[in-house]
Amino acid sequence: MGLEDTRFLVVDDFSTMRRILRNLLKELGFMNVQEAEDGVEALAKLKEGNFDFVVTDWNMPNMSGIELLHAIRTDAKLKHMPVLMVTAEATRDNVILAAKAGASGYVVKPFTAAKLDEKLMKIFQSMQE
Amino acid sequence: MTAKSDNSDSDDLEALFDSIVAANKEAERLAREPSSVTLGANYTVPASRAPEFNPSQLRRDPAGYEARRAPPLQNAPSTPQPADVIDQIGHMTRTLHDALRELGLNKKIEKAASSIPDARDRLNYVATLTHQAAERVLSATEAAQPLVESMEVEAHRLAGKWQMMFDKQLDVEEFKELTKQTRAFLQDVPKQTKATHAYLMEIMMAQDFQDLTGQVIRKIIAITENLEQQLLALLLENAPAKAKTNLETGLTNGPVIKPRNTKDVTPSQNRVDDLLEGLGF
Repeated sequence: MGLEDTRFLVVDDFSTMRRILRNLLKELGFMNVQEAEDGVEALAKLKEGNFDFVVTDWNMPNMSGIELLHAIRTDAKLKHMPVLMVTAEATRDNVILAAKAGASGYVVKPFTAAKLDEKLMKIFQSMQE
Repeated sequence: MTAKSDNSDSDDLEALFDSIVAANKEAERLAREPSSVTLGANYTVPASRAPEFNPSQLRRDPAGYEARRAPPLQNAPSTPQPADVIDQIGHMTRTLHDALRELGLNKKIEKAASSIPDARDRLNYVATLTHQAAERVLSATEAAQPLVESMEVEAHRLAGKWQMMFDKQLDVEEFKELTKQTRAFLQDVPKQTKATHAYLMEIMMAQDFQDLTGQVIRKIIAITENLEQQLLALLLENAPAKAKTNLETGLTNGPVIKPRNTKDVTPSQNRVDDLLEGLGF
């Protein structure tokens, strides 16, 4: 399977941000992108299978990104899923918490297309090692 | 967020209800006492204005609240000069009430007022971000337009020449020149479209303000809702007893069966409207 076949799940409560992320991923050559508007919906979709990569916001209703990350890391089937946090939460504490919870990468909003590309490639590289 | 504010709203309203019921019961009991005919009016005001409008205090300490109110009831019949004593107790209640209000509600109001500068900063942030986004979009659009226009103009010009060629109006040299120009144009087009595409991406990325400002606006809504609650509490506490009695009888709307039955008006908003109307505002 080539990198471009990676199946993404984009999780954000703002539809604008989901569209931006979907378009950016498309721009980077990833055409297989689905969306969820909070952690609860995301987890349900992930448990059905068919995903390789999660890009998630932090601050969302019902289930936050960090809770989603925790749920993924404690699920036997999902625990190896790469999870990239894309969030406006930009304090040291946030970053440390995300790192300890097992996030694969951390992008602070607002971000550039180049930044997203760089973080994605870094994660793909560490997956292959 | 909405559910939480609805709950606290209902809590406030339930506390208000309890306090009004308690005040009415007391008025009835006083009316049954032989000595209380003239005292009832004196007593109603402090009783219904007593500090039970702090709902958290009510929940925490209902027994203590009753204890504070108990002395006048027990003392009233057995005192030789009930009018003086009740008058004195009324003054004491007023003093206590004022002290409690200064300690409790004023702090709440202060806290709510202190959130206004925060809301102002947040609104400034929204203004800055939306301004920047608009600038980015306009700049990218202005930069992309000449690229698209020049391609359009050149394509038109070459198409005209090719039409002349098919109409057999070009000599060999002119035809050679046309093929060179056409080749150069075709080589140039992907460069121009790539640049245009980059500007389109820039326009798309500029929309990220919506997510950031959206989060900030949600926080401002929370702050203003809190402010509204505090002001309402102050209003209810300082409303005349008569208005509050009217309020009690005028609110026979039953339970909120469909909390989401109207799109624009939330149940909590309806209640606030009713309350304000009941108080004559």
